Amino acid sequence: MTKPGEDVVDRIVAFLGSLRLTVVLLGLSITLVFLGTIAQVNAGIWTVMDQYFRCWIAWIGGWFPFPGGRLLGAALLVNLLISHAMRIKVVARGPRLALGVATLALGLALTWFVISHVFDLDSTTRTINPSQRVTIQLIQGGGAAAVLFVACWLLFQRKAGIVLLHAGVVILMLSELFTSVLAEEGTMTIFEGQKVNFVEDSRTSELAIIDASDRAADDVLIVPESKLKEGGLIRLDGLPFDLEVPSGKFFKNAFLAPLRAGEPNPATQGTGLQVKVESRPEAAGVDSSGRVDLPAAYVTFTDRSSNSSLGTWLTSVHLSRERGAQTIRAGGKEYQVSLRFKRTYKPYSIYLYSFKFERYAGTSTPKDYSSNVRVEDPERGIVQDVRIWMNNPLRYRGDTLYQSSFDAETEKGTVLQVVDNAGWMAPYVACMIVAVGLIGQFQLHLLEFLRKRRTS
Amino acid sequence: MRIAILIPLLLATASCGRQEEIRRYKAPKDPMWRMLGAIVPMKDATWFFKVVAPADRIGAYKEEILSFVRALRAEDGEIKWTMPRGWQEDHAGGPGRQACLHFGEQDPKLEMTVVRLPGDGGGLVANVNRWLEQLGLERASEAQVAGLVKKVSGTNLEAQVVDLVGPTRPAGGPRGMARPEPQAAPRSGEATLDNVRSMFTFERPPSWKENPQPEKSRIFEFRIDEPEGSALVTFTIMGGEGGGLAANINRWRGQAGLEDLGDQAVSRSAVPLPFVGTEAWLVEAIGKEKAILGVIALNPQFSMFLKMDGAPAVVTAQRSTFARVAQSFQMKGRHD
Repeated sequence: MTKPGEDVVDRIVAFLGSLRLTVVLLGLSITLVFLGTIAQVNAGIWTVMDQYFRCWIAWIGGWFPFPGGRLLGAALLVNLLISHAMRIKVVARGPRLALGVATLALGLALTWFVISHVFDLDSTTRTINPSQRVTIQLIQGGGAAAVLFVACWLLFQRKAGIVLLHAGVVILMLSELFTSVLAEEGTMTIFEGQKVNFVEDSRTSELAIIDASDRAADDVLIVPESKLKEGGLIRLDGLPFDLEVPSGKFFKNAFLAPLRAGEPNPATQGTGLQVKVESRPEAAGVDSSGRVDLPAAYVTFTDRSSNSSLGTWLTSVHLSRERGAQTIRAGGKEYQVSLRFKRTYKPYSIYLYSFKFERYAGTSTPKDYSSNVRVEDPERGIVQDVRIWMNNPLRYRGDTLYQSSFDAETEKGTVLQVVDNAGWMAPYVACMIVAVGLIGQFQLHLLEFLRKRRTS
Repeated sequence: MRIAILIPLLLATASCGRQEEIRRYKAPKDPMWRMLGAIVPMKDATWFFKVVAPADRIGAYKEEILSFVRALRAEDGEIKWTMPRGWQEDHAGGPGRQACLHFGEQDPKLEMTVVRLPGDGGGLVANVNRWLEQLGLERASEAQVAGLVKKVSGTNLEAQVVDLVGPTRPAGGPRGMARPEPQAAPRSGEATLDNVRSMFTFERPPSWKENPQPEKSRIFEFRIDEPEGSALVTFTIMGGEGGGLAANINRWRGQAGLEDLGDQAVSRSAVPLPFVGTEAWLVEAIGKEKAILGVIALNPQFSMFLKMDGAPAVVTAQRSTFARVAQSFQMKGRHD
């Protein structure tokens, strides 16, 4: 006889593992994808990613609540795990069970090795044909999946393929969660003869306040875009002043325009006395021109000791790129202030020898883009020449550096996309696991069919 | 039991997410850019010799560059030079470039661009300020500019050099040209159309019939009617850089029924031309049905467009008149 409480728990678990819930969640997911796609008519792709998919609640049109991608993903994951726990039982017993568990452990270890080991390999130290590299990686993923299938067969027998392919789906879902939380991406813009050791993420900005008085290194304080958007007083510990972004004075995308006489101007200091900000809609996800948003903000600085204003300054990514930083004096020191794309420093630097943009003879049709670079890593004592070209990235210290773009004006500068995503191999391995699971399940059914026909 | 499995799962997914906080760290100095330039005025033109590179690369070659400048000589109104040992000359430069000289041992080699601009090329103060801004530095007054330039000794030419270091990389091409002094910028907000129009003087050819009430956003509008057809001349000012040189040229080419040009071809198709005391680009797009002549002056604060647009026979016949009118454009109160 079951207690009333246990009955309720069983009902809840049954609901969470039900096929009906799966169908509803998949329906909601399709709707969310549709709504997110429509939203990209006006909003940028990364804004939509954050507001629709990488969140728990998506506010459609800014007011209607809808389950966000993270909530739907978590619910689908829970639904999948519970439905398997309810419907699929381990049928192995005794030595077969022990062998199955051991094989499963081996398969998981191999899967982990394929995902993590590939990540550690540096392509500076070896040359390998890219098609060979992809083939080898797929074979490695397929090998791990095959071992997992054997383990599933030992443990679940007839349902081995079903368990395995759903395990692949679980890996796929977790890899997206992992990527959304931990992966970092940016661009490294280098001109010929220049050496650069940082990447910039054009999806977000930061206010950099730099004390450059030390000749060896800059003392940098970073206020992230999210703080600037929030507005209000932002206390800058370690600096003699605080800052505040007046309400509505952060612009996700802005142009600079000449200031008209007599026009209200929030700026009281710096370049903002000559130019003003004109807010622009952010680059839409459907925009194929590759435009990026150029944020701007009016920032008021206040001297903490005297509580006196140091003025309201116009800061803008565009302005910083064209004119460099503006200088604020406080506490007997000079500070360089600039709004810039979010910057991440790397332990290595890339020196650009040359960038080559080849076209098919007699046409302007691109044939190939390539960058001849030198990787310099003082920590590891590495100085090595490498060529990066289309579909042939450089992998170094966990980063993948792709040939992404170039300076169209001079064709003497390259733009490398630098992706730090430890789980980049996981989707490939997950797909191989799903494939092996499907093929395996089909084989099991085929063998059973053949066996039944022979016996009958 | 089953609930016990679920709770950690839910907690694990719920706890994800990154909070961005204020950070403070030590960072290596940003790479700086250095520009070593020589300005050599001649009778009808001004010559610019300029080397731009990461700051740490030029120092070792500064004396070699200055020796090159000292060895420049005038022949028939042009400047000639002797190639130092190890230097290579490349004539395939960008717009207005006379030559590109490559030198140095490290790959890529350093590049000296040689540009010849008509007249005073915008003037010393405007050009030095343009370079300062390109390097991300503050503009300088006339007196400060005088302190930045140094006369080159040991040469018969009036050569002056300037050596600047700044945080941003100077771009080449159209954005690199001299721009008007900020105070000279027309401030449309405080002015009526008449006020803005009164700021400009230029030659008005008798065959150009002015429309005193041009369409919205146009400052001047003229119509040319000939037996072969007609053409419209407009002068427009826009805020900002007006979309850039390449986009404007290709837009006009499209209007003339021509195909877009690639970035390099676009640069080569534009000819430098003095315009309102600044440097601009003369552009032609001659199609079968329609032809366009244009002058584009791009600046971060405002850009100016002088455009003739009409029947190919009329437009091509007006080429020299159009160029003459463009070069006669002046802004009152402006002294470069």
